[in-house]
Amino acid sequence: MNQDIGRAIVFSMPVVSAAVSLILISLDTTRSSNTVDRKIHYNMIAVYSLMMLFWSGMVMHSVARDTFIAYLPVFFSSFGFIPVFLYRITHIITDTGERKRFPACHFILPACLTLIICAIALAVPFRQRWTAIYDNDVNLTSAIIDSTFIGCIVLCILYSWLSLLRIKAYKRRITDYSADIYRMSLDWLSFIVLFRVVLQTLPIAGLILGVGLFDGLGFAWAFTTLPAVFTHIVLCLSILSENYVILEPVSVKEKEMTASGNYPQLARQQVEQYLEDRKPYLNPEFKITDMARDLASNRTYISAFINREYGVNFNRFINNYRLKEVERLHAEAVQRKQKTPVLEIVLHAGFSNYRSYFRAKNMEKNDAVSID
Amino acid sequence: MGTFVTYGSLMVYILPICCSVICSVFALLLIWNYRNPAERKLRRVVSIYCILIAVWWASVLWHVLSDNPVFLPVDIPFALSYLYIPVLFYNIVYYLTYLGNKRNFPVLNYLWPLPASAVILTAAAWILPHGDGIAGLSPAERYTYLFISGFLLRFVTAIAYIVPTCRLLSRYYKQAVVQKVDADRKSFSIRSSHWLVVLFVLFIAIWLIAFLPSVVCSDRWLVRLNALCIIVQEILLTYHVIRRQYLSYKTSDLFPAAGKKSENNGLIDKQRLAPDHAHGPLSRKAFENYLSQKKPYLDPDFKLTDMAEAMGVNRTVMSNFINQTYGMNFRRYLNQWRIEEYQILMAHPSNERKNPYRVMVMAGFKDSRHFQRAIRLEKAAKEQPDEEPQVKNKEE
Repeated sequence: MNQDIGRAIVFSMPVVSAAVSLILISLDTTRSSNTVDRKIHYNMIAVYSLMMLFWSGMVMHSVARDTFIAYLPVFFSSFGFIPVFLYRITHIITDTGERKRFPACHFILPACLTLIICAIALAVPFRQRWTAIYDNDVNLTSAIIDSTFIGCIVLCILYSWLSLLRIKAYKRRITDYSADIYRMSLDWLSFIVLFRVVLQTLPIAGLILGVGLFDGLGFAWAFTTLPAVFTHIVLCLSILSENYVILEPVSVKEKEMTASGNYPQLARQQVEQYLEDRKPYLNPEFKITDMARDLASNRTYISAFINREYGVNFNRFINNYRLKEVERLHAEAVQRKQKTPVLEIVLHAGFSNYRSYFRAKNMEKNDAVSID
Repeated sequence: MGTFVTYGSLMVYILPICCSVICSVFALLLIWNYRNPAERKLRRVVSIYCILIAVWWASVLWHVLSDNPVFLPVDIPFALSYLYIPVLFYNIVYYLTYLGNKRNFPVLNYLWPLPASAVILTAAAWILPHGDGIAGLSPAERYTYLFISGFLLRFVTAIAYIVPTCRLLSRYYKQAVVQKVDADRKSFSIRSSHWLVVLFVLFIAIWLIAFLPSVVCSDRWLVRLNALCIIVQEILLTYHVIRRQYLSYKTSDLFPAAGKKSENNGLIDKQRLAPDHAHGPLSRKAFENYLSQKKPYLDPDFKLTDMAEAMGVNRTVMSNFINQTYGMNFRRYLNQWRIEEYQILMAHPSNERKNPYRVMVMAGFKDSRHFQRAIRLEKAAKEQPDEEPQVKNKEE
């Protein structure tokens, strides 16, 4: 009995963290102005509600057993839909400019799993369901429930894989679009996806299916929910602080420009002049579309131009300018005998934070080594 | 069912603890993503504040669970959290209401509660050496007993810090009004959002509710209310810290060339849309100039808030302006521009062979439904354009 309460308390931690994140995100929806932002926010709300449902199911599993049996369909459907909604968020964030709708067929699989459990809830009497969940006997009902559960886990792994693929494709595109290393890396998203697969799915599977994986470990199972709490927090934080760059779709105008070819040809000198004079790279959110607008040219042309003329992508090109700016400011500070913190210099040079500066610097170093 | 009841009563205490720990992790993770040193300091303080609240509630929980209420080892952090939560809150408000002058938070605030409370405790222990309840206790136990039972002592810092926090807030709002004239829009929007006051009221409420059981009888509902207040306060604080809804420190102008950028630092990305004449009252001319030159209506998702932001006023002012000057709502007004654009585009020879649907998209309409509705509205208003309905036929 005591152990049950302890387990329930441990499982209620993710519920609380999901609830806190849910509140934070919904506070933020009033502020979001464009459609993509709003879409992301609504999806996040859906994900966190599902997570709350799922984890409160785990709490009921330990404390209120009768309720859990009745709750079973909700529990399973939330478990099945979480990866799909997470994938949907990934889909929106890593959109490569086509603004494709999220295909509805992704919802079919979890819906099927939900239907199976609903059918069981209707067909099988209560007592039998109880024994199927809490006793270790093998019968048809328990077999179906177990296989549904495994189906959910497979779904989770499958969608994580899909998300990773999308992130990879996105990363290839984004280097020619934005120069904000920190925000475009999407490390947090891949981290969450991987974390979910490794640390969350397996222990829960063990617990529900009664594998007895954690009975021998004593209190160790208490820590299995911490990763879940952590992922909730990281996800919420990254969305709130907008740690992502969404590729803008190619506008009709731009397409026409490309097709008709009536844009001014650029010269190397002109681009350098523009960068030296206007210093647009001091803005941490400087994008290739801004550059295209200022030079009255178009995005594809500029990116091809930079690639051809300088042999680097847009991201590296701009960050090299920023690194130069850091050096210049540093020299200036030394000359004036001022003690300026490095951070301030880095921020003045257009890096969004210290980490992106560090990465840019490392990239350059690696480059220099490989050339030698 | 018995298990569930025990679980529920435990959760009343565990919920705020969980919530504080989660909020503090939020703040901790944010520390690495700062834009200036002051922000880092603020986040650190917020994180410590949340942890202290967690400690406070954890020790309350411990007291509830254990049968011996006189002295527990947990009482030392318990007492410390009582002493320092108000100081930390004062610190947070100090950083949030910071305007201009670069001065660090005085360390003295953290130092005085310790000797002061020690002196009071020793004096109290000296004066009443042999009460009925505390006979036969070790000095440490006696001190904690005094500290826990003497509720005035417990709340001494809370009471002491209400006045300075109040003063900080009032000074902040006064200064924000003065600065409004020359400051950017952000300070304006911050001034209008009074979340700091809500935060402060919640702070007072928390201490009042914590104080009440010592005077009146203790009640479970009071505990629940207190937990709720704490959760609300923390979530509010965390949200605004994440979203940077405060006036950030102006980084000193070390680099005159880069000076302009430093202001850009704390601001939201949409700023760059703003034209130079962002400040000052709206004029019809400036407004129409903006529309005809930038053509923001070509974006199907262009909204009233975007417009207001670009013109440097708030939503209500913008909406009232359009209503009064043009006698229609924003959407209709925008659609008029789009229809005009559509007609110009259609008249253009290069577009002659094009599908009207594509021209419509180019003019900024989201889809044909929107387009037709706009046309119908205009027709009902003026009964003038007669060529548009053909589009409908062509499409279908």
